[in-house]
Amino acid sequence: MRKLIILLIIMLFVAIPVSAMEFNAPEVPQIGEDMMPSSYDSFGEGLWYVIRTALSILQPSFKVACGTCLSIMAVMLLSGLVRGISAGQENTIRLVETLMITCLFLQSGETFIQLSREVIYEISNYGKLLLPVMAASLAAQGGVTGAAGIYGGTLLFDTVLTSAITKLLIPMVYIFIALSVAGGGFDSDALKEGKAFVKWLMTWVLKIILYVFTGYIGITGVVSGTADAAAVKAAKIAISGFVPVVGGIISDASETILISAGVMKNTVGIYGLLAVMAVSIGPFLQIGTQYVLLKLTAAAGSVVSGKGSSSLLRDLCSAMGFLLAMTGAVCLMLLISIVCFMKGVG
Amino acid sequence: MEGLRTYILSVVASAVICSGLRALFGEKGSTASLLRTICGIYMAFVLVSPLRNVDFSIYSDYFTGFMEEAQTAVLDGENVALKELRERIKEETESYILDKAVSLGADVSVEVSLAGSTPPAPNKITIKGAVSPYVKKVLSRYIKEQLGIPEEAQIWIQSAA
Repeated sequence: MRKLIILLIIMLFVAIPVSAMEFNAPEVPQIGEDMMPSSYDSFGEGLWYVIRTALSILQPSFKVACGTCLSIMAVMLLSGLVRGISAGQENTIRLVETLMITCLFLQSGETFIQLSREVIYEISNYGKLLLPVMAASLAAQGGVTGAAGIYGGTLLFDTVLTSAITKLLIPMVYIFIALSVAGGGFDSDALKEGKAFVKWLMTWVLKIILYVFTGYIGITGVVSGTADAAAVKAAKIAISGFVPVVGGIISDASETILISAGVMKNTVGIYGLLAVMAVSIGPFLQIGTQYVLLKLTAAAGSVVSGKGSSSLLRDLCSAMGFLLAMTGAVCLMLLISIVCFMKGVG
Repeated sequence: MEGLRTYILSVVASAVICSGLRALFGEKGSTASLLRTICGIYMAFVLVSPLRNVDFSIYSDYFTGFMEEAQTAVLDGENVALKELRERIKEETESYILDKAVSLGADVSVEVSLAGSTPPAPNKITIKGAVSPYVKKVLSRYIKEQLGIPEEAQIWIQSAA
């Protein structure tokens, strides 16, 4: 019985036709499935589809963000009113106002922090599946040095950035919010200095990693692209050493391989670009909407509110901005890598 | 997260201790001045202490691991392309010879072997079929002149007509 099963399995493998060279993009993560277009022939059309779909499902988040901001505005107006009729109660009013604004913010703020963490995790994991395929297809096209350099570098910087975000920067966002809330309730130079330091640290960690990555990719692209182009030329010269018929056969076959590898690489690349956009655009727009509306609320509320609450709102806005920056940094890194792979040899 | 929590607690605890000591000894006098200096050095030490435990050799191994992973992916791509190239060259060469054989009226099957070099070139041919000595001579010379495969590398297997 066992021999029969083994024979059937062997026959199954023999019956499957030998497939030509294929590089397949990994499936888009579940979080972005709804936004992926059905056709990936044109990047422009696919991108437009992703943006349209993301905007069409933004309305519920927009309503929630508006609700939060209107509630915050109402608290600021009420505090301004109470401030006007209760003299000498500034500290108490400020403390209560700060706590109410914080509670209203945290209802959605915590969700956005978790959403940002999830998107970063999904994009990083997707990159780990997509990049080997892109590297293999670029290597098949002759870009051996470039493929290794871009893949290795992206993997390193992505790991560093994702670790920095999950282990350092997201906890720093919580610390920043805590310091902002404390500063909203009490005037303290120490709190201001602490906030400024945390803000500076988060900004510079992101900037340094992205600057170094961009520099690395730029230099690798130039150096390895030149080396790979020279290697392809050398291979063509080697082919010319054969008798004409054999040389012609080898040359035609090589050219076909290069072209088909290039076509497949670009197809995988376009799918990858659209997948990264599909995963990140929805959360990005949600956090961005909250960011913009909080900014508006801070600007409008500064007329009626105290110094503490205006400063708090600006800081909470900055916290949203940091989430956008972190999510955007991880997306941008993968997008740049994909484009570098798609650029190919030379 | 736990490491960050411990670090923040140690900084806060150190700050509290230093503040307490400075409150105890006041702001004026040589003792207070000495204490300020000691507290400053101590706080600086606490702030940078996590760096003592950083093992930079781990990061070097980390990078090596990533490059090895990259090399594996690149090798996979090269192997896929080389396999496809060998298949195409083999098929094209076999078609080329078969076309000539058909034009000579011969009914044969051809199998081409490729060298292990890069790019892979045909270096041996096995031809099976019933062919007349004339067709064999013409085809053999054709293969030698057009494909550069000498007669010693051509294997002819005669089958019954």
